[in-house]
Amino acid sequence: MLELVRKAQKGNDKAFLALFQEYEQEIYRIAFAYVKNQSDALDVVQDTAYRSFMSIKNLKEPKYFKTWLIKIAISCSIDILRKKKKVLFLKPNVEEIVSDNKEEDEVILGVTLRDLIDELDENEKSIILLKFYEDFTFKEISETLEMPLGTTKTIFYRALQKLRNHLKGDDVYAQLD
Amino acid sequence: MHNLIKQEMNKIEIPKELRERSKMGINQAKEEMKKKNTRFKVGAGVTAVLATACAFILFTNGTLSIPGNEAEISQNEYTSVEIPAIELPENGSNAKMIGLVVYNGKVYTQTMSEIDPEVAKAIRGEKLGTTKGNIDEWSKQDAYSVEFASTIGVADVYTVDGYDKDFRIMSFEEYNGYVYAQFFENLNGITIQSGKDIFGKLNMVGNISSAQYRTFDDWNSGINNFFPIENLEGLNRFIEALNHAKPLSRNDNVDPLGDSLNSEDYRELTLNLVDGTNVKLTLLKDGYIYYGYMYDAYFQMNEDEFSKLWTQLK
Repeated sequence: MLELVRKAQKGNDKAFLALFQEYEQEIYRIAFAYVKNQSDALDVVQDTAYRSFMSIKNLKEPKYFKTWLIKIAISCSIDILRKKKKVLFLKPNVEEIVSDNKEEDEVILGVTLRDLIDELDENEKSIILLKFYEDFTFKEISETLEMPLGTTKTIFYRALQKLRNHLKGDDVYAQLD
Repeated sequence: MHNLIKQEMNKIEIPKELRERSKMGINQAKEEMKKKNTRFKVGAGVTAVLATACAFILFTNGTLSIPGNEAEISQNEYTSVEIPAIELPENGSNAKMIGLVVYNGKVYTQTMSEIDPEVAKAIRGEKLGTTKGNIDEWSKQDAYSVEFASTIGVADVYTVDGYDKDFRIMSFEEYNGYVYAQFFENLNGITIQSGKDIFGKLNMVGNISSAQYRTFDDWNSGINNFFPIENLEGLNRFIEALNHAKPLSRNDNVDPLGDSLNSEDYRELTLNLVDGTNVKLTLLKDGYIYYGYMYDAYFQMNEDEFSKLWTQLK
Protein backbone atom coordinates (compact mmCIF):
# COMPACT_ATOMS: atom_id res chain seq x y z
CA MET A 1 0.00 0.00 0.00
CA LEU A 2 2.80 2.40 0.85
CA GLU A 3 4.33 1.78 -2.56
CA LEU A 4 1.02 2.57 -4.26
CA VAL A 5 0.75 5.81 -2.28
CA ARG A 6 4.24 6.83 -3.34
CA LYS A 7 3.41 6.07 -6.98
CA ALA A 8 0.19 8.01 -6.72
CA GLN A 9 2.04 10.95 -5.24
CA LYS A 10 4.15 10.97 -8.39
CA GLY A 11 1.01 11.27 -10.48
CA ASN A 12 0.33 7.60 -11.28
CA ASP A 13 -3.44 7.59 -11.64
CA LYS A 14 -3.71 3.80 -11.95
CA ALA A 15 -1.91 3.39 -8.65
CA PHE A 16 -4.26 5.89 -7.06
CA LEU A 17 -7.28 4.15 -8.56
CA ALA A 18 -6.18 0.86 -7.02
CA LEU A 19 -5.83 2.60 -3.65
CA PHE A 20 -9.13 4.41 -3.88
CA GLN A 21 -11.10 1.37 -4.96
CA GLU A 22 -10.01 -0.36 -1.78
CA TYR A 23 -12.10 2.13 0.18
CA GLU A 24 -14.73 3.39 -2.26
CA GLN A 25 -17.53 1.28 -0.81
CA GLU A 26 -16.84 2.58 2.69
CA ILE A 27 -16.69 6.12 1.37
CA TYR A 28 -20.01 5.63 -0.40
CA ARG A 29 -21.71 4.26 2.71
CA ILE A 30 -20.39 7.05 4.90
CA ALA A 31 -21.53 9.60 2.34
CA PHE A 32 -24.94 7.97 2.16
CA ALA A 33 -25.30 8.25 5.93
CA TYR A 34 -24.94 12.01 5.54
CA VAL A 35 -26.73 12.83 2.32
CA LYS A 36 -29.36 10.08 2.54
CA ASN A 37 -29.71 9.43 -1.18
CA GLN A 38 -27.82 7.55 -3.86
CA SER A 39 -27.34 10.42 -6.26
CA ASP A 40 -25.65 12.74 -3.79
CA ALA A 41 -23.65 9.91 -2.28
CA LEU A 42 -22.22 9.10 -5.70
CA ASP A 43 -21.39 12.78 -6.14
CA VAL A 44 -19.51 12.64 -2.86
CA VAL A 45 -17.53 9.64 -4.03
CA GLN A 46 -16.60 11.39 -7.26
CA ASP A 47 -15.68 14.62 -5.46
CA THR A 48 -13.63 12.67 -2.93
CA ALA A 49 -11.74 10.88 -5.68
CA TYR A 50 -11.08 14.20 -7.39
CA ARG A 51 -9.96 16.08 -4.30
CA SER A 52 -7.85 13.29 -2.90
CA PHE A 53 -5.94 12.65 -6.13
CA MET A 54 -5.40 16.39 -6.55
CA SER A 55 -3.93 16.67 -3.07
CA ILE A 56 -2.24 13.35 -2.41
CA LYS A 57 1.12 15.01 -2.73
CA ASN A 58 0.29 16.78 0.52
CA LEU A 59 -0.11 13.52 2.44
CA LYS A 60 2.96 13.47 4.66
CA GLU A 61 2.46 10.04 6.21
CA PRO A 62 1.35 7.45 3.61
CA LYS A 63 0.37 5.04 6.37
CA TYR A 64 -2.47 7.38 7.28
CA PHE A 65 -3.92 7.27 3.77
CA LYS A 66 -7.27 5.80 4.85
CA THR A 67 -7.76 8.27 7.68
CA TRP A 68 -6.95 11.12 5.34
CA LEU A 69 -9.34 9.81 2.69
CA ILE A 70 -12.23 9.42 5.13
CA LYS A 71 -11.69 12.97 6.31
CA ILE A 72 -12.01 14.23 2.73
CA ALA A 73 -15.17 12.16 2.24
CA ILE A 74 -16.81 13.64 5.33
CA SER A 75 -15.83 17.11 4.20
CA CYS A 76 -17.33 16.51 0.74
CA SER A 77 -20.51 15.14 2.30
CA ILE A 78 -20.97 18.17 4.50
CA ASP A 79 -20.20 20.48 1.56
CA ILE A 80 -23.06 18.96 -0.39
CA LEU A 81 -25.38 19.31 2.55
CA ARG A 82 -24.37 22.95 2.94
CA LYS A 83 -24.98 23.63 -0.73
CA LYS A 84 -28.43 22.19 -0.40
CA LYS A 85 -28.89 24.02 2.91
CA LYS A 86 -29.84 20.82 4.63
CA VAL A 87 -27.50 21.07 7.58
CA LEU A 88 -27.39 23.29 10.62
CA PHE A 89 -24.13 23.07 12.49
CA LEU A 90 -24.46 22.97 16.24
CA LYS A 91 -21.54 23.95 18.39
CA PRO A 92 -20.63 21.17 20.80
CA ASN A 93 -21.90 22.03 24.24
CA VAL A 94 -19.50 20.50 26.70
CA GLU A 95 -21.91 21.16 29.55
CA GLU A 96 -24.55 18.89 28.14
CA ILE A 97 -25.35 15.62 29.75
CA VAL A 98 -22.53 13.10 29.56
CA SER A 99 -23.45 9.54 29.99
CA ASP A 100 -22.08 7.81 33.07
CA ASN A 101 -22.09 4.63 31.08
CA LYS A 102 -18.66 4.40 29.53
CA GLU A 103 -19.27 1.04 27.90
CA GLU A 104 -18.76 2.52 24.50
CA ASP A 105 -18.56 -0.80 22.76
CA GLU A 106 -21.99 -1.83 23.87
CA VAL A 107 -24.17 -0.29 21.22
CA ILE A 108 -27.86 0.07 21.83
CA LEU A 109 -29.77 -2.97 20.72
CA GLY A 110 -32.13 -2.27 17.91
CA VAL A 111 -30.58 1.00 16.75
CA THR A 112 -31.30 1.53 13.08
CA LEU A 113 -29.57 3.59 10.51
CA ARG A 114 -32.59 5.82 10.34
CA ASP A 115 -32.27 6.53 14.05
CA LEU A 116 -28.66 7.47 13.46
CA ILE A 117 -29.50 9.80 10.63
CA ASP A 118 -32.51 11.45 12.16
CA GLU A 119 -31.35 12.02 15.71
CA LEU A 120 -27.77 13.18 15.45
CA ASP A 121 -26.27 16.46 14.39
CA GLU A 122 -23.35 16.42 11.99
CA ASN A 123 -20.60 16.34 14.60
CA GLU A 124 -22.31 13.54 16.50
CA LYS A 125 -22.91 11.59 13.33
CA SER A 126 -19.29 11.95 12.24
CA ILE A 127 -17.98 10.66 15.55
CA ILE A 128 -20.41 7.76 15.80
CA LEU A 129 -19.62 6.65 12.24
CA LEU A 130 -15.88 6.92 12.71
CA LYS A 131 -16.04 5.08 16.03
CA PHE A 132 -18.38 2.24 15.15
CA TYR A 133 -18.13 1.91 11.41
CA GLU A 134 -14.47 2.75 10.86
CA ASP A 135 -13.22 1.56 14.26
CA PHE A 136 -11.20 4.73 14.77
CA THR A 137 -9.79 5.44 18.19
CA PHE A 138 -10.82 8.67 19.89
CA LYS A 139 -7.40 10.05 19.12
CA GLU A 140 -7.82 9.29 15.40
CA ILE A 141 -11.31 10.78 15.44
CA SER A 142 -10.12 13.98 17.11
CA GLU A 143 -7.34 14.33 14.52
CA THR A 144 -9.68 13.58 11.62
CA LEU A 145 -12.29 16.08 12.72
CA GLU A 146 -9.75 18.53 14.08
CA MET A 147 -11.36 18.89 17.48
CA PRO A 148 -9.95 18.43 20.98
CA LEU A 149 -9.85 14.88 22.28
CA GLY A 150 -12.00 15.75 25.29
CA THR A 151 -14.64 17.36 23.12
CA THR A 152 -14.65 14.31 20.89
CA LYS A 153 -15.45 12.04 23.81
CA THR A 154 -18.06 14.40 25.18
CA ILE A 155 -19.90 14.57 21.88
CA PHE A 156 -19.64 10.80 21.52
CA TYR A 157 -21.32 10.13 24.86
CA ARG A 158 -23.90 12.79 24.15
CA ALA A 159 -24.73 11.03 20.88
CA LEU A 160 -25.11 7.70 22.65
CA GLN A 161 -27.38 9.34 25.19
CA LYS A 162 -29.53 10.74 22.39
CA LEU A 163 -29.88 7.37 20.77
CA ARG A 164 -30.78 5.68 24.04
CA ASN A 165 -33.34 8.37 24.82
CA HIS A 166 -34.79 8.05 21.34
CA LEU A 167 -35.28 4.36 21.77
CA LYS A 168 -36.90 4.88 25.14
CA GLY A 169 -39.28 7.39 23.56
CA ASP A 170 -38.06 10.28 25.70
CA ASP A 171 -37.42 13.73 24.35
CA VAL A 172 -33.95 14.69 25.50
CA TYR A 173 -34.50 18.33 24.59
CA ALA A 174 -37.66 18.55 26.63
CA GLN A 175 -35.67 17.27 29.58
CA LEU A 176 -33.13 20.01 29.11
CA ASP A 177 -35.74 22.78 29.04
CA MET B 1 -19.44 -6.83 20.79
CA HIS B 2 -22.72 -6.26 19.12
CA ASN B 3 -22.06 -3.50 16.66
CA LEU B 4 -25.39 -2.94 15.03
CA ILE B 5 -24.27 0.33 13.55
CA LYS B 6 -21.63 -1.43 11.48
CA GLN B 7 -24.16 -4.02 10.42
CA GLU B 8 -26.68 -1.35 9.49
CA MET B 9 -24.10 0.59 7.50
CA ASN B 10 -23.10 -2.51 5.58
CA LYS B 11 -26.69 -2.95 4.50
CA ILE B 12 -26.47 0.16 2.36
CA GLU B 13 -26.56 -1.16 -1.17
CA ILE B 14 -23.63 -0.33 -3.40
CA PRO B 15 -24.82 1.02 -6.79
CA LYS B 16 -23.32 -0.29 -10.00
CA GLU B 17 -22.20 3.19 -10.95
CA LEU B 18 -19.80 3.46 -8.02
CA ARG B 19 -16.71 2.26 -9.86
CA GLU B 20 -17.36 4.52 -12.78
CA ARG B 21 -17.87 7.55 -10.60
CA SER B 22 -14.60 6.92 -8.77
CA LYS B 23 -12.82 6.77 -12.09
CA MET B 24 -14.52 9.92 -13.29
CA GLY B 25 -13.30 11.85 -10.27
CA ILE B 26 -9.75 10.63 -10.72
CA ASN B 27 -9.82 11.38 -14.45
CA GLN B 28 -11.04 14.90 -13.72
CA ALA B 29 -8.08 15.45 -11.43
CA LYS B 30 -5.70 13.87 -13.91
CA GLU B 31 -6.83 16.13 -16.70
CA GLU B 32 -6.63 19.21 -14.52
CA MET B 33 -3.09 18.36 -13.50
CA LYS B 34 -2.20 17.90 -17.17
CA LYS B 35 -3.55 21.34 -17.99
CA LYS B 36 -1.42 22.86 -15.30
CA ASN B 37 1.67 21.19 -16.71
CA THR B 38 1.08 21.62 -20.41
CA ARG B 39 -0.16 24.37 -22.67
CA PHE B 40 -3.27 23.44 -24.58
CA LYS B 41 -3.30 24.61 -28.14
CA VAL B 42 -6.19 24.65 -30.47
CA GLY B 43 -4.69 24.46 -33.92
CA ALA B 44 -5.95 24.28 -37.44
CA GLY B 45 -6.11 20.51 -37.10
CA VAL B 46 -9.20 20.74 -34.87
CA THR B 47 -12.26 20.92 -37.11
CA ALA B 48 -15.72 22.01 -36.04
CA VAL B 49 -18.20 19.29 -36.94
CA LEU B 50 -21.57 20.51 -35.65
CA ALA B 51 -22.77 22.82 -32.89
CA THR B 52 -22.20 20.08 -30.28
CA ALA B 53 -20.91 19.42 -26.79
CA CYS B 54 -21.76 20.27 -23.27
CA ALA B 55 -21.61 18.03 -20.25
CA PHE B 56 -22.78 20.62 -17.82
CA ILE B 57 -26.08 20.26 -16.13
CA LEU B 58 -27.40 22.85 -13.74
CA PHE B 59 -29.47 21.35 -10.99
CA THR B 60 -32.42 23.37 -9.82
CA ASN B 61 -34.76 22.09 -7.16
CA GLY B 62 -33.87 18.52 -7.88
CA THR B 63 -34.71 18.64 -11.58
CA LEU B 64 -32.33 18.82 -14.48
CA SER B 65 -32.09 21.68 -16.90
CA ILE B 66 -29.61 22.75 -19.51
CA PRO B 67 -29.17 26.52 -19.48
CA GLY B 68 -29.70 28.37 -22.70
CA ASN B 69 -32.01 25.74 -24.11
CA GLU B 70 -35.24 26.74 -22.43
CA ALA B 71 -36.22 29.35 -25.01
CA GLU B 72 -35.46 27.01 -27.87
CA ILE B 73 -37.75 24.15 -26.91
CA SER B 74 -40.79 24.24 -29.08
CA GLN B 75 -43.78 22.17 -29.97
CA ASN B 76 -45.44 22.38 -33.35
CA GLU B 77 -49.12 22.01 -33.88
CA TYR B 78 -48.75 18.25 -34.17
CA THR B 79 -47.35 18.00 -30.63
CA SER B 80 -43.86 17.02 -31.68
CA VAL B 81 -41.11 18.20 -29.36
CA GLU B 82 -37.84 19.49 -30.71
CA ILE B 83 -34.82 19.06 -28.52
CA PRO B 84 -31.85 21.13 -29.63
CA ALA B 85 -28.29 19.96 -29.45
CA ILE B 86 -26.58 20.45 -26.12
CA GLU B 87 -24.69 23.69 -25.77
CA LEU B 88 -22.14 24.90 -23.23
CA PRO B 89 -23.52 27.42 -20.69
CA GLU B 90 -21.66 30.70 -20.18
CA ASN B 91 -21.21 30.12 -16.50
CA GLY B 92 -20.22 26.63 -15.47
CA SER B 93 -19.54 27.46 -11.84
CA ASN B 94 -22.55 25.50 -10.64
CA ALA B 95 -22.17 22.80 -13.23
CA LYS B 96 -22.08 19.11 -12.62
CA MET B 97 -20.53 16.61 -14.94
CA ILE B 98 -22.30 13.72 -16.56
CA GLY B 99 -20.79 11.14 -18.83
CA LEU B 100 -20.77 12.02 -22.50
CA VAL B 101 -19.08 10.96 -25.70
CA VAL B 102 -18.91 12.83 -28.97
CA TYR B 103 -19.30 10.46 -31.90
CA ASN B 104 -19.96 11.23 -35.51
CA GLY B 105 -20.58 14.86 -34.66
CA LYS B 106 -23.27 14.10 -32.09
CA VAL B 107 -23.26 14.15 -28.31
CA TYR B 108 -24.18 10.90 -26.62
CA THR B 109 -24.96 11.13 -22.93
CA GLN B 110 -24.96 8.55 -20.19
CA THR B 111 -28.23 6.75 -19.79
CA MET B 112 -30.27 5.03 -17.12
CA SER B 113 -30.42 1.90 -19.24
CA GLU B 114 -27.82 -0.53 -17.98
CA ILE B 115 -26.00 -3.61 -19.11
CA ASP B 116 -24.59 -6.31 -16.91
CA PRO B 117 -20.80 -6.46 -17.44
CA GLU B 118 -20.89 -10.17 -18.27
CA VAL B 119 -23.59 -9.70 -20.88
CA ALA B 120 -21.94 -6.61 -22.34
CA LYS B 121 -19.37 -8.74 -24.12
CA ALA B 122 -22.08 -10.73 -25.83
CA ILE B 123 -23.77 -7.69 -27.38
CA ARG B 124 -20.66 -5.66 -27.98
CA GLY B 125 -20.58 -4.91 -31.68
CA GLU B 126 -18.14 -3.14 -33.92
CA LYS B 127 -15.41 -1.06 -32.35
CA LEU B 128 -15.87 2.58 -33.31
CA GLY B 129 -12.85 4.11 -31.64
CA THR B 130 -11.37 5.19 -28.32
CA THR B 131 -12.46 8.16 -26.25
CA LYS B 132 -10.03 10.92 -25.44
CA GLY B 133 -11.24 11.91 -21.97
CA ASN B 134 -10.40 15.50 -22.72
CA ILE B 135 -13.50 17.28 -21.50
CA ASP B 136 -14.04 18.75 -18.05
CA GLU B 137 -15.85 21.77 -16.65
CA TRP B 138 -13.06 24.06 -17.80
CA SER B 139 -13.10 22.95 -21.42
CA LYS B 140 -13.74 25.42 -24.19
CA GLN B 141 -16.46 24.93 -26.77
CA ASP B 142 -14.04 23.75 -29.44
CA ALA B 143 -12.93 20.83 -27.26
CA TYR B 144 -16.26 19.23 -28.08
CA SER B 145 -15.73 19.29 -31.80
CA VAL B 146 -13.12 16.56 -31.58
CA GLU B 147 -14.35 13.10 -32.49
CA PHE B 148 -14.49 10.87 -29.39
CA ALA B 149 -14.05 13.80 -27.07
CA SER B 150 -15.53 12.68 -23.76
CA THR B 151 -15.81 13.17 -20.03
CA ILE B 152 -15.28 9.49 -19.28
CA GLY B 153 -11.56 9.20 -19.68
CA VAL B 154 -10.01 6.78 -22.11
CA ALA B 155 -12.32 3.94 -23.09
CA ASP B 156 -13.09 1.91 -26.18
CA VAL B 157 -16.44 2.61 -27.80
CA TYR B 158 -18.52 0.05 -29.64
CA THR B 159 -21.82 -0.30 -31.38
CA VAL B 160 -24.40 -2.38 -29.57
CA ASP B 161 -25.79 -5.37 -31.42
CA GLY B 162 -29.46 -4.92 -32.12
CA TYR B 163 -29.47 -1.15 -31.59
CA ASP B 164 -29.11 1.74 -33.99
CA LYS B 165 -25.71 3.33 -33.49
CA ASP B 166 -27.22 6.72 -34.22
CA PHE B 167 -29.12 6.20 -30.97
CA ARG B 168 -26.96 4.02 -28.71
CA ILE B 169 -23.28 3.20 -28.35
CA MET B 170 -21.35 1.54 -25.55
CA SER B 171 -18.12 2.21 -23.71
CA PHE B 172 -16.30 -0.95 -22.72
CA GLU B 173 -13.09 -1.53 -20.82
CA GLU B 174 -11.52 -4.13 -18.63
CA TYR B 175 -9.25 -3.24 -15.74
CA ASN B 176 -7.87 -5.44 -12.98
CA GLY B 177 -10.30 -8.17 -13.91
CA TYR B 178 -13.31 -5.90 -13.81
CA VAL B 179 -15.44 -5.06 -16.83
CA TYR B 180 -16.83 -1.55 -17.10
CA ALA B 181 -19.57 -1.16 -19.68
CA GLN B 182 -21.95 1.75 -20.07
CA PHE B 183 -24.49 2.85 -22.62
CA PHE B 184 -24.52 6.31 -24.12
CA GLU B 185 -27.47 7.61 -26.09
CA ASN B 186 -28.09 10.51 -28.43
CA LEU B 187 -31.10 12.25 -26.93
CA ASN B 188 -30.45 15.81 -28.07
CA GLY B 189 -30.59 17.49 -31.43
CA ILE B 190 -33.67 15.42 -32.24
CA THR B 191 -37.39 15.85 -32.89
CA ILE B 192 -39.81 13.61 -31.07
CA GLN B 193 -43.09 13.01 -32.85
CA SER B 194 -44.32 10.27 -30.55
CA GLY B 195 -43.09 7.84 -27.94
CA LYS B 196 -41.88 5.58 -30.72
CA ASP B 197 -39.02 7.98 -31.47
CA ILE B 198 -37.52 7.09 -28.09
CA PHE B 199 -39.13 3.96 -26.73
CA GLY B 200 -39.16 2.27 -30.11
CA LYS B 201 -35.38 2.43 -30.15
CA LEU B 202 -35.08 0.58 -26.87
CA ASN B 203 -36.25 -2.69 -28.47
CA MET B 204 -38.63 -3.45 -25.64
CA VAL B 205 -41.68 -4.80 -27.50
CA GLY B 206 -41.75 -8.57 -27.25
CA ASN B 207 -38.32 -8.66 -25.60
CA ILE B 208 -39.10 -8.36 -21.92
CA SER B 209 -38.01 -11.32 -19.83
CA SER B 210 -39.01 -9.85 -16.46
CA ALA B 211 -39.78 -6.57 -14.79
CA GLN B 212 -39.90 -5.03 -11.35
CA TYR B 213 -40.66 -1.71 -9.72
CA ARG B 214 -39.95 0.19 -6.54
CA THR B 215 -41.42 3.22 -4.82
CA PHE B 216 -39.98 6.70 -4.72
CA ASP B 217 -38.84 6.38 -1.11
CA ASP B 218 -36.88 3.22 -1.81
CA TRP B 219 -35.39 4.65 -4.99
CA ASN B 220 -34.39 7.87 -3.30
CA SER B 221 -32.85 6.03 -0.36
CA GLY B 222 -30.99 3.59 -2.56
CA ILE B 223 -32.89 0.64 -1.14
CA ASN B 224 -33.24 -2.26 -3.57
CA ASN B 225 -36.72 -3.17 -2.42
CA PHE B 226 -38.13 -4.28 -5.75
CA PHE B 227 -41.54 -5.78 -6.41
CA PRO B 228 -41.88 -8.10 -9.40
CA ILE B 229 -44.49 -7.53 -12.07
CA GLU B 230 -46.37 -10.75 -12.53
CA ASN B 231 -48.63 -9.86 -15.44
CA LEU B 232 -46.17 -9.63 -18.31
CA GLU B 233 -48.93 -9.75 -20.88
CA GLY B 234 -50.38 -6.56 -19.47
CA LEU B 235 -46.92 -5.07 -19.27
CA ASN B 236 -46.30 -5.80 -22.93
CA ARG B 237 -49.51 -4.01 -23.85
CA PHE B 238 -48.26 -1.05 -21.87
CA ILE B 239 -44.92 -1.14 -23.70
CA GLU B 240 -46.67 -1.20 -27.05
CA ALA B 241 -48.80 1.73 -25.99
CA LEU B 242 -45.63 3.66 -25.15
CA ASN B 243 -44.94 3.98 -28.85
CA HIS B 244 -48.07 6.09 -29.16
CA ALA B 245 -47.40 8.23 -26.10
CA LYS B 246 -47.60 11.97 -26.53
CA PRO B 247 -44.33 13.86 -26.11
CA LEU B 248 -44.43 16.98 -23.93
CA SER B 249 -41.88 19.71 -23.47
CA ARG B 250 -40.71 20.17 -19.88
CA ASN B 251 -40.31 23.85 -20.61
CA ASP B 252 -43.60 24.60 -22.35
CA ASN B 253 -45.69 22.67 -19.83
CA VAL B 254 -46.01 22.49 -16.08
CA ASP B 255 -43.74 19.55 -15.44
CA PRO B 256 -45.52 17.31 -12.92
CA LEU B 257 -42.33 15.58 -11.78
CA GLY B 258 -41.45 18.14 -9.13
CA ASP B 259 -44.75 17.67 -7.30
CA SER B 260 -44.70 13.90 -7.60
CA LEU B 261 -41.59 13.01 -5.67
CA ASN B 262 -43.38 10.77 -3.22
CA SER B 263 -44.25 7.11 -2.97
CA GLU B 264 -47.87 7.62 -3.79
CA ASP B 265 -47.30 9.21 -7.18
CA TYR B 266 -43.91 7.90 -8.33
CA ARG B 267 -42.62 4.52 -9.44
CA GLU B 268 -39.33 3.43 -10.92
CA LEU B 269 -40.01 0.64 -13.42
CA THR B 270 -37.15 -1.62 -14.50
CA LEU B 271 -37.59 -3.73 -17.59
CA ASN B 272 -35.16 -6.62 -18.04
CA LEU B 273 -34.79 -7.46 -21.70
CA VAL B 274 -33.81 -10.83 -23.14
CA ASP B 275 -30.51 -9.42 -24.43
CA GLY B 276 -29.45 -8.54 -20.90
CA THR B 277 -30.11 -4.83 -20.99
CA ASN B 278 -32.17 -3.18 -18.27
CA VAL B 279 -34.32 -0.18 -19.09
CA LYS B 280 -35.46 2.14 -16.32
CA LEU B 281 -38.53 4.30 -16.68
CA THR B 282 -40.06 6.76 -14.25
CA LEU B 283 -43.84 6.58 -14.04
CA LEU B 284 -46.12 9.12 -12.43
CA LYS B 285 -49.61 8.19 -11.31
CA ASP B 286 -51.40 10.57 -13.66
CA GLY B 287 -50.06 8.87 -16.76
CA TYR B 288 -46.66 10.46 -17.29
CA ILE B 289 -43.50 8.65 -18.29
CA TYR B 290 -39.91 9.85 -18.10
CA TYR B 291 -36.90 8.16 -19.61
CA GLY B 292 -33.54 8.41 -17.95
CA TYR B 293 -31.69 11.68 -18.28
CA MET B 294 -33.93 13.19 -20.96
CA TYR B 295 -33.77 16.80 -19.87
CA ASP B 296 -36.35 18.44 -22.06
CA ALA B 297 -39.16 16.05 -22.75
CA TYR B 298 -41.47 13.61 -21.08
CA PHE B 299 -44.46 11.61 -22.23
CA GLN B 300 -48.12 11.18 -21.51
CA MET B 301 -50.03 8.01 -22.20
CA ASN B 302 -53.69 7.28 -22.78
CA GLU B 303 -55.22 7.18 -19.32
CA ASP B 304 -56.95 3.86 -19.80
CA GLU B 305 -53.82 2.07 -20.98
CA PHE B 306 -51.69 3.60 -18.27
CA SER B 307 -54.04 2.82 -15.41
CA LYS B 308 -54.09 -0.87 -16.31
CA LEU B 309 -50.39 -1.04 -15.52
CA TRP B 310 -50.50 1.36 -12.60
CA THR B 311 -52.86 -0.92 -10.69
CA GLN B 312 -50.10 -3.54 -10.77
CA LEU B 313 -47.66 -1.12 -9.17
CA LYS B 314 -49.50 -0.55 -5.91
